[in-house]
Amino acid sequence: MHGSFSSISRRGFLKSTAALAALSALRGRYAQAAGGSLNILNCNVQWSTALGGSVAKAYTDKTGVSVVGEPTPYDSLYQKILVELSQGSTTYDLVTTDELWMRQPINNGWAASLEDIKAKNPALPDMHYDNLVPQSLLYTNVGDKHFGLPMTMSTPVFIYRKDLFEKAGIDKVPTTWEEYLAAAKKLHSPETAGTILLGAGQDAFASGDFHSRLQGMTKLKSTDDGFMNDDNEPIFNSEGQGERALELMKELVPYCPKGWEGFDYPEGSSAIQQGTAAMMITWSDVSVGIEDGPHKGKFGYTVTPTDKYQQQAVGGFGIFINSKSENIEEAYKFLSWMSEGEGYELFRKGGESSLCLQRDIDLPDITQQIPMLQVFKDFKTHNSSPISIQFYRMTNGVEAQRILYEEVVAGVLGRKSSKQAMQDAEDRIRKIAKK
Amino acid sequence: MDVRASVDSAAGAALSGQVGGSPKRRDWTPTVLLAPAVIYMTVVGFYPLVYSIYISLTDYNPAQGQLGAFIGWDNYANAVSDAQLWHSLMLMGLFTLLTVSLSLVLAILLALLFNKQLPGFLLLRTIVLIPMLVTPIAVGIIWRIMMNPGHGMLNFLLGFLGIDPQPWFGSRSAAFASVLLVDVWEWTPFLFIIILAGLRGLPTSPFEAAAIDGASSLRIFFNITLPMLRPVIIIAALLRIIDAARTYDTVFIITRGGPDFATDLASIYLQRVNFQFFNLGYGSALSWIMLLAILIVVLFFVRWSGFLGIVSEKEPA
Repeated sequence: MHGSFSSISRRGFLKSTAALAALSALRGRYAQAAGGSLNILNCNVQWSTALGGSVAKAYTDKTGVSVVGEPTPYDSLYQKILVELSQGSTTYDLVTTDELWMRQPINNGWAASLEDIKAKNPALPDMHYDNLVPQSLLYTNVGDKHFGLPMTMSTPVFIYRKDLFEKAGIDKVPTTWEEYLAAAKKLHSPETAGTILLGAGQDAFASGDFHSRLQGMTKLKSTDDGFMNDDNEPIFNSEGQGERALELMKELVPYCPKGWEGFDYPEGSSAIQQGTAAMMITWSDVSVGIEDGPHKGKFGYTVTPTDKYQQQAVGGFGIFINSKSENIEEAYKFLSWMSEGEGYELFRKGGESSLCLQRDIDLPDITQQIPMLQVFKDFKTHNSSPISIQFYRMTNGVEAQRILYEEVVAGVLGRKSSKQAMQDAEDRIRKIAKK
Repeated sequence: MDVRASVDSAAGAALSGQVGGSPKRRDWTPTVLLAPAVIYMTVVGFYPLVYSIYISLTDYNPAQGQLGAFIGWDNYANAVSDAQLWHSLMLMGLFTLLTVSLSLVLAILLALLFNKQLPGFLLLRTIVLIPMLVTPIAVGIIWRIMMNPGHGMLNFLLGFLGIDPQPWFGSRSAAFASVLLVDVWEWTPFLFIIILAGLRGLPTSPFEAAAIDGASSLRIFFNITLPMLRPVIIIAALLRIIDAARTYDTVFIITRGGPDFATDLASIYLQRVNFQFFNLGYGSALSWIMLLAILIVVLFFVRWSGFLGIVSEKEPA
């Protein structure tokens, strides 16, 4: 009896497994027939929550195509992109990326050109690039081809506590670095640090603190980053501007909180939020949520102070089609739908503040909804020209950023003179620069 | 013929495939049973190991489309002049020495304490083991939040004692001390449980004799407990040395190797070269150098501690 029961059970188990496998295969075929599915390698920041949620739902409702956005922590997104795409994986049809990493998939042929996809099938819908802020398209465009779309547009932002400014009797928001230093001195007290440097963050220190000081020192075109010229030669200290930027940072050290060397974006935002620091330079897309809490409305946002020229780096996130995807046309259609604008509007409604849809930024009351967007409004009043993020044209921009970070840390902490730090940075970056 | 000789003879015959002097077909059962394990180990263990040696002789960098041109020993030659590598290896050595020493002292003290049969100790022993059971990533995240200079719990608690907030990972020395603290907190229970088990297994007669002779507790500890625990301590320390030298998760989460390279252990530098720059050729060479460094430390410890003598000691007849 027991043996008989056991054998029936085994047979039953095998039958059930076969039935489930068949059902699963049929389900996949049915899903394909009903409109297929798109798999996105997604990040886990504000807009990407909307991408995998409300945006995916809106697209499925409209087309019947299911969209799955696999959330990946920002810290491991770069690794995952490289591991997946360098091995020719077809798992993801669409891949989201920091704009700093964008040239890697483009130069390695991992990102499909939207024009090439359309050329193969002219019946595919058009892209509506005009709906997007022109500067936000810089990173996905190479030559006359588009290799994806921006998801967000961000910029370095000068955040300050309006209440602490008022308390210290500062009525003019600094627009130069000299004024910034003077304000830091005036605001500094045992309870509140005058300013913050984000010494522990590779991106925060190199692309935020250092770049924001460097970006106003030489005249740049919108496609220039101020770090490498068209021949991939380092130019960030060509007139001693790198050393000067380091000196500007060193002057602020006495007015930073104790332990600033261990601060990254989260610690900086937290200090400003709690009022233990009065000013900071950070990126607009990592400061989402700073208004949440008891100090709502006490924060001021504007463009970063400058030196000779009013220029601001503009970066953000992008999305591209995996050239090895088995769903390339479906992925193209999704991007085409995104470019119509509805998806971007859902980002805004989901709480994203780094917007790249032109009509979103032009909304008259947008700064009431998202105070951070004052920065982009200030572009016009300050006559600021948008410029590119550092090393964006390099295939190995992350490695170059790391080298710069290490040398900037050495310079600011006084382990090397500013001159030596910049010379070493140039030499090391020259060695890894790919022509 | 005695019983042992007959057993040896039967075993020999079985191995040679002969029973009772007549030839017999070879028994493939052991081979078939072992084959999956051997194939598995070859595929997932041996092949990647050999392949990584090959990779270390190339300029393989998939992130830049470099498919791996053979460059001989260049990566190893570059590593010799890589100041960052030597800094990271030295840091790894210092970190390992300090964390293993501190954990060991604390574990012995805890084991002595919990060896007493006092009410509530069973529950306390279980609580002491908790850090070891938490995922290292979670440990890193929890401690980073607790050490936050603004709203961290540690500074909040220090405030009660009238101590100013500390920059837990805000300076070179503080950051190194902080990651050391976390590692000791996480892994002391591992040593504690091994040493406690060793302590429980010690015979009671030497202790009773010493007590009758009027030896002090301290003297009993240094002259009887510690020497008798030596084999257990050495094995526990060896396991911990190997593990501490590979520490990555918690340190990466808490400090990312900073500030200013203060906690840039070899494992973190390796991760950066391999999985941030994707310079897998150079990274593989660095991995082999790190393996060699750990091996040297382990061999030194094995020789110094008399580990081989301990493991080769036979059970008394």
